[in-house]
Amino acid sequence: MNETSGSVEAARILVVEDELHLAQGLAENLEAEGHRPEIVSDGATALKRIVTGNYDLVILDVMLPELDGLAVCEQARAQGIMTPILFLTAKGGVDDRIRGLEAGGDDYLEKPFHLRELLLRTQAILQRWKWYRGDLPLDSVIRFGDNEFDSRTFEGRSWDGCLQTLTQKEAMILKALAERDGSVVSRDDLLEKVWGYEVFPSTRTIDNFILRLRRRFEPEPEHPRYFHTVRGVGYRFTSEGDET
Amino acid sequence: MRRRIFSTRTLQVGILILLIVSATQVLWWMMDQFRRTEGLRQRLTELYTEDVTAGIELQRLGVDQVTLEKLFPQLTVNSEGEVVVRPESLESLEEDRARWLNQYGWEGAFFLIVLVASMTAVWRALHQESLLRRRQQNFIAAVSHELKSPLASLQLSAETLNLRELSRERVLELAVRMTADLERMKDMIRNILDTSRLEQPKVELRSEAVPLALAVTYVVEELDNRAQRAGTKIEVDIGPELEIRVDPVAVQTVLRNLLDNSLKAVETRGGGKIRIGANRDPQWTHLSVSDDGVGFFAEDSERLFEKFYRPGDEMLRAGSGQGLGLYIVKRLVELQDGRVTAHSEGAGRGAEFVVSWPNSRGEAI
Repeated sequence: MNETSGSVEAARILVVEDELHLAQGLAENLEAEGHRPEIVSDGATALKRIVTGNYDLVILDVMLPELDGLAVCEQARAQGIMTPILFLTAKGGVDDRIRGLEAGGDDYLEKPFHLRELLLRTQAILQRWKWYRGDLPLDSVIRFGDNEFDSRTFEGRSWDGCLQTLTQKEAMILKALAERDGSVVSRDDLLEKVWGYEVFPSTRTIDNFILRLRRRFEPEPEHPRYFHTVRGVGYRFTSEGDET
Repeated sequence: MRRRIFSTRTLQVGILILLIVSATQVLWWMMDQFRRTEGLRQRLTELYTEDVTAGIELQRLGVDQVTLEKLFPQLTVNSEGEVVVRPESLESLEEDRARWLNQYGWEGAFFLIVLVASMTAVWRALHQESLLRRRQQNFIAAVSHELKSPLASLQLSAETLNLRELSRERVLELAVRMTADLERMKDMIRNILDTSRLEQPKVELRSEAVPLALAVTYVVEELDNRAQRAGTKIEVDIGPELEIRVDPVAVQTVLRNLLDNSLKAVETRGGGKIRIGANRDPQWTHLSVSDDGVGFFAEDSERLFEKFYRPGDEMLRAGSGQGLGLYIVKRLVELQDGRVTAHSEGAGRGAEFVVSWPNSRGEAI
């Protein structure tokens, strides 16, 4: 079988889909791409497997018997499982997409979908995840001021001693900014690095994530010392901490 | 096209409000009339009392009875020589009052009844419409899911064929899968068309002697592949002598939908057993289709046959369907004087559907 695109290491992918034909077709194609797919057909089993198994990606149908896909995602995230999730669903309205992303999904694809698009999105998610997980330096802890954050555990401690557990996106944004400590990172760069595809309608979304990071780590969120806005361009992170 | 200024719903709500306002006004008018009638009577009674006082005064001044009665026609002098109001005048006053009250009461009550009846009619229309709208939304959600799932699977299979070099074996596998997806879409479209046909005011159905065992075998063969794929065994036990008098095409539809329903119930559980049996009593011929599938809650046993009804939450899909199959079954069976019932010990404990056709239809030939 041909592979559609550049090589990605074999990933463990959980396919959660109650339509047997679709699940089989997906699994066969993922296998042809060199991945190791597993099929589950109901929400409750899916949640158990996501929590216990160590998957690189979950392809999750929204309408499922027993526990719907959104609930599976929310509950997995609530248990601290950060595995990327790609939603697959017959409902394709903007509201449904936003609900999926709010539940903690990484991407959203409407049925019927194009095989190539699905494979490309899968690959993009896996690559982003690899960037985040993969070449972490030995010391995965980012320190700025009295704050510290461990990008491996998603947990950190803010200046006031509070424990901060970041969401996957927050962590990815923090990492993307910290990697280029002191220089400006544009909103588009962040979008591409953290979201990959344009699943969000605007770059405003990032602004909201930055606000959330400020609220977590800045002693005075209105006068940021670490997360600076560079008007019209993007953001600059300074681990030293300075006034804008 | 110009947009309509008012939707039917807005119009209905508007009329309902108008009716309520009118009813309130009628009620208020009635109470006002009653009050006025009462006031009038009181006023007249007072006037009479004043007349009596004046009469007594005149009597004392020496005016005789004839002159007195001429001056005050409603007064008279009784046997004891006292000036009093004529009993006839008092009676006619009471009569007038009763007549007015009666008139206002009847008129008002009539208008009130008309208004309340109209309000009920409009309210019911609104309520039914909103029920139907909700069901239709569910239906559209179900149909789009039902249509998109096989469509997504078909597209995936076609694109897989296009994208990859596959062995002959795998190509055949995909062809089988695609055929099954097409079957599913075909069934669904057939159900939607059947439903709209059954909505017509007059449904033409023939009446022929159909050997039940034969009809069942035919449908079972049609669905046997699917049953085997789902690891489901279908047992048929029907005496060859049993005949029913029905439309042969309609009975196929009935059987196909019942069997499809049972298959879905066991497929969701990953396979099981379906038993089809029949028996006859003096009045009815009964056909039962029982399965050990997902079953349903007792409170759903009636609603299962309602159009667009699907048990459970739309997001927690326990199996596929648009909520049309059992509706079609019930409609077709009842159009030929039969009846259908559903029974389950509860969720997860299987279900039994029994269709009964009257024997008299058969004997009448």
